[in-house]
Amino acid sequence: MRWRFVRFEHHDAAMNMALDEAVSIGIASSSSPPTIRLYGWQPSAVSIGRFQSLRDEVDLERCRELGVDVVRRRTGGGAVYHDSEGEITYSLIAPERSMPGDINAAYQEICGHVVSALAALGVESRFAPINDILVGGKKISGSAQTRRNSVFLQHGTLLLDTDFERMFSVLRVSDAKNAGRQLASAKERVTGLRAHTDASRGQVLDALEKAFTAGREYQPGGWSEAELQEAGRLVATRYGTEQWNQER
Amino acid sequence: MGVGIVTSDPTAMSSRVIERKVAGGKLFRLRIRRSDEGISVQLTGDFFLDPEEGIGIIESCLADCMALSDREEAECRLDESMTKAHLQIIGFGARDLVDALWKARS
Repeated sequence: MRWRFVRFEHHDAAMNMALDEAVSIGIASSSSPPTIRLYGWQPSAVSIGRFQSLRDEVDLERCRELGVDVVRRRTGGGAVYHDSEGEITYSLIAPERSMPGDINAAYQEICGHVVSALAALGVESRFAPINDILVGGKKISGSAQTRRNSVFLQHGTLLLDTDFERMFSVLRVSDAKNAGRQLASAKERVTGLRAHTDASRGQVLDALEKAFTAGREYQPGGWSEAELQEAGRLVATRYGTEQWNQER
Repeated sequence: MGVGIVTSDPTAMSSRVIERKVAGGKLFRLRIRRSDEGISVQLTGDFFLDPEEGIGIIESCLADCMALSDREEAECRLDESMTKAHLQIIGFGARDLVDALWKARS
């Protein structure tokens, strides 16, 4: 099985989610190769989990003020603030038969690639079930996966720098009186790679590429015309629509 | 399981929301609405469900369970519905959902 590796690129929130699904559709019809991609979010965005309530999780007015995109993922998990410069996101999309059948084993295997990349950068980390990676006991990476039409998708983040003030100005805190405590608490629970290494963004991307492709036959590549068309359709009909994003 | 928080939904007098964070698992909220058309239950949170389309089966079953008086029967019914539909929740279980439902009823 030959993989495609799509090197780091920025897209807006709806396009990022649409590309993941377009590749999934392509793999289901055998027209797209198994794909690993690294990407960023331009502008910065909040993605919410498939089953989250948008109004419970996101301050939409604040997002509009700051020009922060909002999108509902098709994967479960929690709300994530994707800073345009402060994180790297990955996706791994492949035929389901090529991945562990057990959900937890699949998380462990793929998160293991991120752990390996961090080790190559001299940063010790560990997988923390269900879907996190910790450095020094603090979360540096979260991930989410889904399986549909015999296609497996896992996407996840690697925090570089975290602007907690901005993060908690767009993520809704259920009890306003606890906002300050939550901010302080988050700083205790979350960390970014910059706090642990001087490696450049390029070095981090290289480490991730090596770790994700280790033992895999692959070649760097880009999107096909069919994938871009499908992604455009998905932006127009799903990820860019209020009907989808405000479903819950 | 963490401490449950029961609140009123300020947007509707006939709604109730209960939130649970399962220790070592995920957070969920049940939003229970009563109207002339009956009872509906919405399940939201940062959990994982495979397949995702099964969320409606769980919500519908939870709404039906509101009419039951026996908690064990409710849990059995939810378990059966999920097994029949091959649903797998990651982050909590049927018992957690029924516990929360019963707390919301009380």
